[in-house]
Amino acid sequence: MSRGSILEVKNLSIAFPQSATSTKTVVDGVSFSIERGRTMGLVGESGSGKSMIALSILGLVPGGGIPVSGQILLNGRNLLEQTTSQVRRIRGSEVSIVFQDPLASLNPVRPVGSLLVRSAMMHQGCSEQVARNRAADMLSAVGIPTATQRMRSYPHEFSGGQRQRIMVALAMINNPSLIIADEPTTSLDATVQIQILDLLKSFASECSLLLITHDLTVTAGVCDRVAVLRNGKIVESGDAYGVLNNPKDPYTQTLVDAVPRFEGHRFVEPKSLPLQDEDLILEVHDLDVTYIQSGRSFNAVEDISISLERNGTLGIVGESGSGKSTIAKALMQMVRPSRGRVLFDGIDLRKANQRDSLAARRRSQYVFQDPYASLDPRWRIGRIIAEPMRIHKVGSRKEIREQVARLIEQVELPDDSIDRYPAEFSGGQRQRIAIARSLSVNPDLLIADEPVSSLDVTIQLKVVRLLKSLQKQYDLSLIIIAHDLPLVYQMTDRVAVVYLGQIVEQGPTEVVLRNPKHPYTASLISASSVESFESVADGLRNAGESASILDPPSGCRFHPRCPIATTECSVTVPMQVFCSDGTIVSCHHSGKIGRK
Amino acid sequence: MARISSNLRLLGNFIVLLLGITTLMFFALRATGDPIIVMAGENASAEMIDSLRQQYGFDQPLLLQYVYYLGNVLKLDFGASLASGQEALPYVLQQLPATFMLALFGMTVTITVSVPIGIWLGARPDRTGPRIVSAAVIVAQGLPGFVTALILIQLFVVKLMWLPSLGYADVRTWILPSVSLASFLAPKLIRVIAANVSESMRQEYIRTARSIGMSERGVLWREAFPNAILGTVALIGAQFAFLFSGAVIIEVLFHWPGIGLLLFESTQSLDFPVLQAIAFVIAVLVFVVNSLTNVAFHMIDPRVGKVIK
Repeated sequence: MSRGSILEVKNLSIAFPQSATSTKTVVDGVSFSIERGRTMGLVGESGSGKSMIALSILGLVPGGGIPVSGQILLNGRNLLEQTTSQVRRIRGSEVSIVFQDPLASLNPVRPVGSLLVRSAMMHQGCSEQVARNRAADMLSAVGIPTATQRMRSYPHEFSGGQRQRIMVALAMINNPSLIIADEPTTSLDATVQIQILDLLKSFASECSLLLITHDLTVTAGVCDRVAVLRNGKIVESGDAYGVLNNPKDPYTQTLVDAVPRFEGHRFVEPKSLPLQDEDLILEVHDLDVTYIQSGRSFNAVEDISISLERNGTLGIVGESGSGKSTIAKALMQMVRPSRGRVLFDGIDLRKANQRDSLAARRRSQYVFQDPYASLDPRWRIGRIIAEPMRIHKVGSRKEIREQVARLIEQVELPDDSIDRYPAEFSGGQRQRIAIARSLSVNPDLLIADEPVSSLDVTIQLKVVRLLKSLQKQYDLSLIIIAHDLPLVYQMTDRVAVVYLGQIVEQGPTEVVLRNPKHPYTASLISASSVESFESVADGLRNAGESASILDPPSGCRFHPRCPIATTECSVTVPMQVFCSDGTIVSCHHSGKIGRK
Repeated sequence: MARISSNLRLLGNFIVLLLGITTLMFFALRATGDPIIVMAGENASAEMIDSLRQQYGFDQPLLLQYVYYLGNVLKLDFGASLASGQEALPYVLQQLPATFMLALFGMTVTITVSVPIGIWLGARPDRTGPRIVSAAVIVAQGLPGFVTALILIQLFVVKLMWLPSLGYADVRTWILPSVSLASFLAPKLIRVIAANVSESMRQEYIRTARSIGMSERGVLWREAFPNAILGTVALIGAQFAFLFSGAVIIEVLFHWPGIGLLLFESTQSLDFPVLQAIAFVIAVLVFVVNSLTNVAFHMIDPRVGKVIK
């Protein structure tokens, strides 16, 4: 290896003892190296061993160093031969890590500054006062405003993106020679993702970066070199551009093919004017949902009007906190709208009697985002799937049993699943269980809230295909709530883009995503890093995160982040404009977005 | 705005609680027996009983008695003790300091013992030592407080004669009651602290602390402990409230001049005014302790009571 190697991993294996005689190998003879100032991507699906490699470099593999063999050379020293206290001195000073979920990774009852101060004191041997100043400097360097004051704030007082910035500050405070970032953007919104990646890249010029991810678009954007990991072995490695554009290994090929793109196969022709005289399963007019928090009331969503054709698919996209889940809850009658009408198959849900409203509940079902939290771990699969049928008293015992068996087959789960427990299934399988549950009462409308965002890419694709085929079989109308635009592009005919509780643009998916008229839509598309729109992408990188719904900006709510905003935008609320291509957009400058 | 309205609601709950307690006490006590018979003694004549009845107003219709009683409660007048003739409320309040001190001492011992043991158990629950101790703690939790108290009295007072057993004046008499209370309360607290610590140690922020090179000791005390103690504030509050309501058996066993002892004696003599005053005082105390627990919780946990975005 060249003289400039910061990290050299040689023949690294990690095997956990399973019983007295057998072991489970999770990392198998892995070798790679990272040069000074370079960025290396370690790509693989969950279970491929990539996170275990990261933990082994920090000496944090469960069970101590016992399961680890091989060599991990950091600046020429083999980390596996250091004593515990030597390793502790290296951790946080020479090598540091940014974990996936910044909320879980920060102690909820400690001020965010405390760890930074502690880390500087431990590794730089400085006084608390010096460490405090250093920590505040570091926080401003990663873009936390009024850093000195915010040192005392707690993690919950920051946004998701800011929390991850704090984690980056924690990783950088002692000028390490290597930063490991383990899925650093997976839990963040698309627009925040680029900001964090930019931040990491800006530091990577001073040190080396090992980026662990399942997201090939992220890898392509950030890394110089890439290694693809499968079942603990590196199947392909090399120059990032070469590997991703011209994969040699069949597995890399599958991964690359599984990345949803805007180009490629498409199915529905864009329709002309929407909403009139069509067979609508769902109509929403001027919907407001008001929440009360600490004695203040605010509208979580406002003036929402959408509609969905029978057997059609509607996507609702937006960042977290934009109110997209609130819309879904209102459609499911889980929250009561404070204004507006929801017509489900012609029935006004606000005025419906109990019987109609219960029937509407049966006919519209929900698939939740997190298949780990949404299945009761103490129930067998059969009972989970049958639960809606029991609640709505559909079918006899025998019919229920037959229906459950049929559903298990249709969602392609193993036949013996019925008597097993959720813990025995993977994330993708669990989501299939959740889908089977939602279909057990033959609904007409299925609302899927981020149905695949917690799954691996290849699994995502399979679940998406399953949903599409079930939609045909069951004559389903589908609402997909997502922040992942390529997914929405693949799945939906219409899309509504939500920003801070309001729909800023909606229309046929093909039109909206190919020719966005609202700068927010354009910025979301840019953030998916497939296409760029001039005047938008660069502006948004510096524009920070979403404002708070509790205190929405005046005029157009997007104007503080909007690169093309004028004075008018901060004063006047934009009107809805109905365009000839079927889109409805609320922007003062809707024509001004050009492609790069 | 929201704060004021929630305080008002709290006050409203308090008033309803006191009304409920006093009413319940009034009727429940009258269903348990006739105090005049107890007072008059076995050999009293019928005339004597009647005149006593008149004297204490027990000849009036029950509802009328209740109305009088409520009116007096509003003035904090519970009547005079049937046994001693003293005003009931001051009589009860006079016993309060002893109970308060016992609660304070008992809780101090409990916390001093429970925190280190709980943390030790929670930090390494898989090791042999902690496992054995955990099992012992579970057994100890099943042991009633009075059994421990009796054993302690047998050992230290009767056999070894190291400590005096009864009374309140000598500080040495405080040791055994406090330890007896702690032996009853500590196992529960230890188990909750241990469970919270081991739960905290499994969280991802512990991994973060380790990843910056913090020592295991630092991880345990700086990161896991504050989280673990949060979850025990409610339990500590509840244990305090329990002690304030008079650890009856302990006070009786050690002849501790507190509310518990008074409660015991007044029950035997069916001393209505005193019993009603005790119930009233305990209700107020429990309410105060619970409110203080709530305040403590708001002060310690940065997440409670603020807007979560």
